[in-house]
Amino acid sequence: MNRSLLEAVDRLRARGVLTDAQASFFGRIARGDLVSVRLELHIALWIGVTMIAGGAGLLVKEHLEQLGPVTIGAGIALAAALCLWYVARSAPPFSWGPVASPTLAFDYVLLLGVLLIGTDLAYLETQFRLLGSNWPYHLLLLALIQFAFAFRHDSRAVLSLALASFAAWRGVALSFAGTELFARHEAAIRVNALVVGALFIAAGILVERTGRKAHFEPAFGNLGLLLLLGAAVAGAYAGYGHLDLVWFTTLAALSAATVTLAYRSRRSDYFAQGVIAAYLGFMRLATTLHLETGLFYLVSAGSFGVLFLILWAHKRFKEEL
Amino acid sequence: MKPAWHAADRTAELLAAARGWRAAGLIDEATSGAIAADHVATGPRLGSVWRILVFICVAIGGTTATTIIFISFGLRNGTGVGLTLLLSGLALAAITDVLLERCSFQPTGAEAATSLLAAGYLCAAAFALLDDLHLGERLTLHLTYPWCAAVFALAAWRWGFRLYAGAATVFALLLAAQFPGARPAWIAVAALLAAWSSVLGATRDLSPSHRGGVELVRIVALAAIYAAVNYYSVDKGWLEEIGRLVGAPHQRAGDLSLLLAGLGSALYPLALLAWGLRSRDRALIDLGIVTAALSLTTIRFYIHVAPLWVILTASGALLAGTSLLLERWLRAGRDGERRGYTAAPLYDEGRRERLLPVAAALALAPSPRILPAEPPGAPGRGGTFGGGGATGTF
Repeated sequence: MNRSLLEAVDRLRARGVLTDAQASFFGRIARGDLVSVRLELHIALWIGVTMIAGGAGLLVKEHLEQLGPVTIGAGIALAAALCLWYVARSAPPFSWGPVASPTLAFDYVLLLGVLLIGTDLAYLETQFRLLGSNWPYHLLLLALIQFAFAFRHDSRAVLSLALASFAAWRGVALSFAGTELFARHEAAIRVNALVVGALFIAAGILVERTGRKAHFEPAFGNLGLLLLLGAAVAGAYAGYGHLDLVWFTTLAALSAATVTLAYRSRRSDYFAQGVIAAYLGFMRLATTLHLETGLFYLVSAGSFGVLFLILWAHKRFKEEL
Repeated sequence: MKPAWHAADRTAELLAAARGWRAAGLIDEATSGAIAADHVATGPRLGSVWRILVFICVAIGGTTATTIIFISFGLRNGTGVGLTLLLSGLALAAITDVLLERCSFQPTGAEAATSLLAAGYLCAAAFALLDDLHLGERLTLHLTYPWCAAVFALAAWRWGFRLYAGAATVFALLLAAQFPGARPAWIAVAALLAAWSSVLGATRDLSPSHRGGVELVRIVALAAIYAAVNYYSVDKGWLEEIGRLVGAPHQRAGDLSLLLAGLGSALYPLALLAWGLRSRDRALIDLGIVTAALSLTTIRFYIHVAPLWVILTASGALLAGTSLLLERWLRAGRDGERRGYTAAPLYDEGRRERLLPVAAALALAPSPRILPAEPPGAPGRGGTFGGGGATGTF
């Protein structure tokens, strides 16, 4: 029982802020007489979908020989079709604005269907060599299919998947597993990450300006910035003791631009990414200066300097919550 | 905790609840505004992004500042290092008090960083000073663990950070595992802590932060009991390994211990679930589900029931199907609830709900192709599929 909340609810009822019905309802919540298991149901669905998709992947991997390509391909396609049939049956009409999910399962079934399409497409491409030497284009095709589903069904999850597939087509991982960004000789991946990141940001600006799925902008913007700044940070750190001036300058320019633009547009998430990238760049520079003890003075002063910058900037953002 | 912090804590809890009710559509904007006007917070809140940034800056700044002290004074021996850590820890504890008392923003992230550094330094100081006395590794740990438990418990009580209550519980359990009969001692300490926190939570009017801390102690203690009765843990002698001296033989579990562990693995999660469902305690229900899943995984480890892909697919389908049926069943009840449970949002669950599918999507995204130079017209090298631990190539 949450006594303090219960007392507060009673107080609010006595002052007329809450109606009797509201106070009675919130009183039940505070006493623990009414409990929502909504989050648990979502987590169970999330884990369930992850396990099914993982199981399908393992099936393909382990039983390639025994089952044969047609059986596996058709089986996964059937499962995907069932998922998408459910989605098509229960989907609300299309809108360029946000659309609420009609059921708890909707987002997850859609995600599972799209994931199964991806598994099937990759499998069939490998088995039948449909695209020949242009095999990586199946990732682009997959990304386009996913974009279509994301826009039709207003799904941020499928949009994130589409962005990840598009980045994968260019050889870039959108997860922390993408440590190849930091490898010394992987400049091509980093350049691709810069380009893909810039493209995502441009797409974010486009959807926002046109007002068509404008609520997708944070997904485009955050993942784009993550790639853009991540590539620059990776480039600055990839020199193994030697500071790569081109990448360092790129990082400095990008983080300065991000901080400035985020500050002007009052976007705290972008501002945070810019500050972290700038801070990492500063640390990289500090370690290159061979200051010995001075390094610690510099890092300590830098940390508190960034702290004051953050608190100063926050006053402008005036962000609550 | 000072009385003013208690009051601020309760106000923050009510305002958070009001925001949650508003987000869930249970009250309108006017009522939400009236509640906010009626309960003025001690200061504006920093958003989570800002708090994380401030935490990182203060943590790095504080750590490097301490390193500067070490370097400047040329401290190398245990006493010097220990005393410096002790003094720095006390200074940081005082700074945490000042931040909580004076800072116009509540919380800022800075007090979390300084309190963490303070507690960490005080724990490390005890270890360094005791180690310098050459008491032997075992005695040093026997003295350090209770000190750490006390430091974190005090930090949780003073500043209200619930994670520190959990850390204190872990140190108390680690101490129990240092003695002969580690497993029964571990279970006894965990059971005592679980009973104490259950009684305290049910009978005392605690501030929200302290209530959260006591709740975490209970959950950590109950999870620790499961760690002690799990079949795999007994079979591998995990708890006995914690206090085993270097060179001492590994302890093998007897048949009776394994039989009891088998029963414990099966019955304990069910008992937790039953307790949680009966008392409408979400934390207990969640713990029951997690321990049940761990018990099923343990069975899979010892008994080959079916191929992994069958297990994954069937369990996933069962889990997803059950949650959907459960949601329908709850929604179909009177006022969308049954026996005090509902699938409707009561607070601001929406944000986390929206993030879950995105996390699933990114976890299951296809692996990127490998870029290095492919000569024009080179044959395909295969694609990738899966994710979520099942990524592979063919």
